[in-house]
Amino acid sequence: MSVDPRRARIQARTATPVHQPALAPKPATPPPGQAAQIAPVPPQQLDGTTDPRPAASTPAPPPSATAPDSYKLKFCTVCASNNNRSMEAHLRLAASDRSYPVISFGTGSYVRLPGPTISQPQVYNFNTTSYDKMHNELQAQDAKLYKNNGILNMLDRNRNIKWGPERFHDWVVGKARLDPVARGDKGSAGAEGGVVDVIFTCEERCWDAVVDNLLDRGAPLNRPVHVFNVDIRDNHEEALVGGRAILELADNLNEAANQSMSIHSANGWDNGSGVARESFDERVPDILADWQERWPNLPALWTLSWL
Amino acid sequence: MAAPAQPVSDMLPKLEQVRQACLADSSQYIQVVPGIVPILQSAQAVDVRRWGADFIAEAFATPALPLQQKELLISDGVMALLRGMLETPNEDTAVVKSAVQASASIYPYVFRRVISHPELALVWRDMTTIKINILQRIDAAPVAVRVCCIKFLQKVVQVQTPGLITDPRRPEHNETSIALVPRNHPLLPLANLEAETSGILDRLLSVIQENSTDPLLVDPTMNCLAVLIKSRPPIQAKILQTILNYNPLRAAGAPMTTRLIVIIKSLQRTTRALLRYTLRIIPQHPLAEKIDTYLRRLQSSTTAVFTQAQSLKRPAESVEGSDDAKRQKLEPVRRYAPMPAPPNTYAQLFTLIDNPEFQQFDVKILPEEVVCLISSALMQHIDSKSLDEAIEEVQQRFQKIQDAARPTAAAEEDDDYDPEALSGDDNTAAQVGGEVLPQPALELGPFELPKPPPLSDGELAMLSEQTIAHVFETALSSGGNSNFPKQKIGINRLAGSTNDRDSWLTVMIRLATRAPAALDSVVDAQINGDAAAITAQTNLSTTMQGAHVPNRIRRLLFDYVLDDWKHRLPLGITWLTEEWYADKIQTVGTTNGDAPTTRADMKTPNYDYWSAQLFETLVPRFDKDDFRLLIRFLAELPSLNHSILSQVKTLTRDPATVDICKKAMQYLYLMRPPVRELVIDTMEEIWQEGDSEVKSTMGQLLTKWRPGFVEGAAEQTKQEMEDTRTFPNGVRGEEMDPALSVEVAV
Repeated sequence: MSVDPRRARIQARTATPVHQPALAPKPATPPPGQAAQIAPVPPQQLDGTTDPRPAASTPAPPPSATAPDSYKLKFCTVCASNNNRSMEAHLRLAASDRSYPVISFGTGSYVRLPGPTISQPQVYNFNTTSYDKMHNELQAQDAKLYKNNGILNMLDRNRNIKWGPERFHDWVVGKARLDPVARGDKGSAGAEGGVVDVIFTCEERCWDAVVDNLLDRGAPLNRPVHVFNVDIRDNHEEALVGGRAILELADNLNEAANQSMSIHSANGWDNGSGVARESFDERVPDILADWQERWPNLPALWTLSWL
Repeated sequence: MAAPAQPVSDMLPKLEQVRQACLADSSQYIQVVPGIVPILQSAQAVDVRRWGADFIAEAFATPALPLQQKELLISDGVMALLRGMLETPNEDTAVVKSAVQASASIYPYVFRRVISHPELALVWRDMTTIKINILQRIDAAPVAVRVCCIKFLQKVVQVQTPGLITDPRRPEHNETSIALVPRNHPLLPLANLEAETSGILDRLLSVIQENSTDPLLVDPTMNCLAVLIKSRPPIQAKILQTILNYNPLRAAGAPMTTRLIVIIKSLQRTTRALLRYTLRIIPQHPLAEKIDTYLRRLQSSTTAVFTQAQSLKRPAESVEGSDDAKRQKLEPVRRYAPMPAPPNTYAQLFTLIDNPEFQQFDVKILPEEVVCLISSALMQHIDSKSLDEAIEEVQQRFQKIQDAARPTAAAEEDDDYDPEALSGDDNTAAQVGGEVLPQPALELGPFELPKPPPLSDGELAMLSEQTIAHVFETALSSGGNSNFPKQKIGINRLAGSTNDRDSWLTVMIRLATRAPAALDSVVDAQINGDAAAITAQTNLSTTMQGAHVPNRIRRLLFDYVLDDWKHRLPLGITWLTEEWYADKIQTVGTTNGDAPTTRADMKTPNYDYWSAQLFETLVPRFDKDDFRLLIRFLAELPSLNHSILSQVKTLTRDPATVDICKKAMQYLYLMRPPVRELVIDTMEEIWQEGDSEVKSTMGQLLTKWRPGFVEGAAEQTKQEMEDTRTFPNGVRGEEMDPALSVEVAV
């Protein structure tokens, strides 16, 4: 496993905070070293057309006039098992230079991880099993197998992000989330109110489940939430690419939110003009369309729903 | 602004600490909210106002605080704070947005509190003012605020529409709705509320009714309707009907930009999600079937819209694992029809069009001057580019044929260069004789299929049956709605050239009549003059109907004519004529020019048999209106004989058809002199066999045609009757039918 994609990914991830400060004004542009580090990943597993493009064509968001602790959108990432894609995106968003408030969920009925064969998945309960427990169990079962298929590395990453996988349907919206803050979960700071502004799902199935669940909840909080789907295949490599794409979209959205927050304040109205005067919500379709043109291989879906 | 700027930096962290404390222990809100409201009311800094609006919204939205305690949070101060936020001119959008959210959250609690505390007129007045304020905002406010206004409207509709009373004894457990309001409530007049609700619901649905394509208004509306559909049955139908009239793909007409695709997808998927959710929670609703249909139609039209859009956006879908798919190989556009597979004629080489009618047009039929005129005019106006292209195409074709025609010597084992082989002397390449172009040389030896095993009689019979049935089907299924041509082309007509039903039937008839199978022996017998042999052979060919192909076809034709005999009689006549002709030709042909001396010598076995068959079957079907058909049949048949006329004779057995029989005989007597004697003989038989009525009808004609017969016959009859009376069996002559008496005599 000299070309273990996990290794490349981990290097890329750990490199992110190191490189980012130097590139602070261009948070969405991947650090130059990153592409080189991803290179060992077998080419047929990566969506080749999308990889180089963001570096070349992503219009770098204008340097933010706001301080690092200015207004931040609160994000939520959702995939099936709250392990691979949503956690990759969770990490990306939380570890970005803006340290977005992030929470993450899975929409499946159980946490399912690849087992020794395709018909024997490892099944765990949501909300009550920690990543640490899964990691230790699997390591005890067959360390070589789960190391080779990247599961142990993934769980190791996850247990450093938050305690355990959570199910979207069991999320009590608006309920304070102080425990994660106390534990120091990544992205928990700012998300203690238990509400988010944007939900990213990583699969259409999950988007459907999330939208349907929000309809069923009956919107008790009367709070609008943008629900995006970014279609990411469920493998480590795609999760890596998808995580970067989600971070870029999040940056773009946050930028727009910040602009509208600053210009709509009492003394800021005259600062903006044209598009910038439009509110954040208004600009979402344009932001998504721009983003989709840069990421044509990650079909996106969006709706404005209620928490 | 400078003065409060200093405190803000201190204030916000403190306020945030307060919020954290409330999050940690929701009961803190009870103390915190009343204390913080005055601070927020006097706050100048926008950040503090934003925080305040958010905090109030959060306090009333949090699920951690029980319903009863939230009711306690409501105070004049809170209401005034919200009013102030909404009524301050040029208020920050974020503050207004949060204030509207807070209003939507607080509305049910205020409503509930006012129900149980009618004395809280001030609170209700503030709430009403806020409601009016928000309703006024909904058209003009920035989108972010409008979205929240939509939610406020939905909440008002939800509260002011009767909900489910789960337990009337414990009102605190029931959902807040107008159903809880007592009839005589001083602040909440039911009638007014209902009217207001109806108006607000219309306002809420107007976005969908107008078929808006703005996802920022449609999506939130759709997504907030779910709870109304779920919990408010009285307005379910209205909401669902509105949604079913909505077309999320309306925007698809414009050129597809990525933005438009994003929007259409969003509208479509949101509508779909809501309707699917509806189907799931109320599957028994009367509109469920309509929803199902709507969803299916939406799915198919979306596919149609997006297959186009996708192809515009991403012409080459990258397939996993195949990087070669990046550049799609495109078929070159073919301007000219391809040349048919070899062997080719020169005509095919130069034919660049694929219209078969033009291809068959023969230029030679045009006069030379006309061709010259047309060609010179064409040459003047021709597009030189297309002419070049056409020439190039023909050159390429010719080159291809030549390449193919070259002997494939290189492919063989010996690579010796042999100039002789290319000189075109070998016979494979030189078949240019006639119009055929050189053909590719195929060095394959002759291949012979092994001989099939001989067919057994049963197989033969089955196969010939199938073949005939197949040809007959072809004949019947091919065009031409008449059995025979309405427009006569006259003598120029070719029997089987038009490829319609008539010509196919002609082919069938000729196959049956002229195929020599099984007739040789009959003809031989005729030549030998052996009458007994003829009869035997004829019987053989007719009785063994299953054994011979012609007889099978005849049987099919026979059945076909009988199926609809009134319309297919002309076909029957044609068939019998062909039979007669074929019989005659057979006889003449085999006698080697020694023409039979009299017509009677020419025997017509097939004709006799099949005409008799046809008459035997048809005559019982004639009724008194079929006079013309019978006359035509008798008139057009090439030859009449005694057996045919004796069939006609049977018409007299039915009094209804006596008349047409008489008319037929009259016609034959007048119009076909050769059979006159035969007709008179038949008439005699009729007269003798018929009853008194027949006798009187036919008697007139017979006295005219064969004078003296009737009288003689009558006398003879009388004589015989007298003889009969003397018979010892005691049958009395008076009681006997004359016809019967004849039979008895015979």
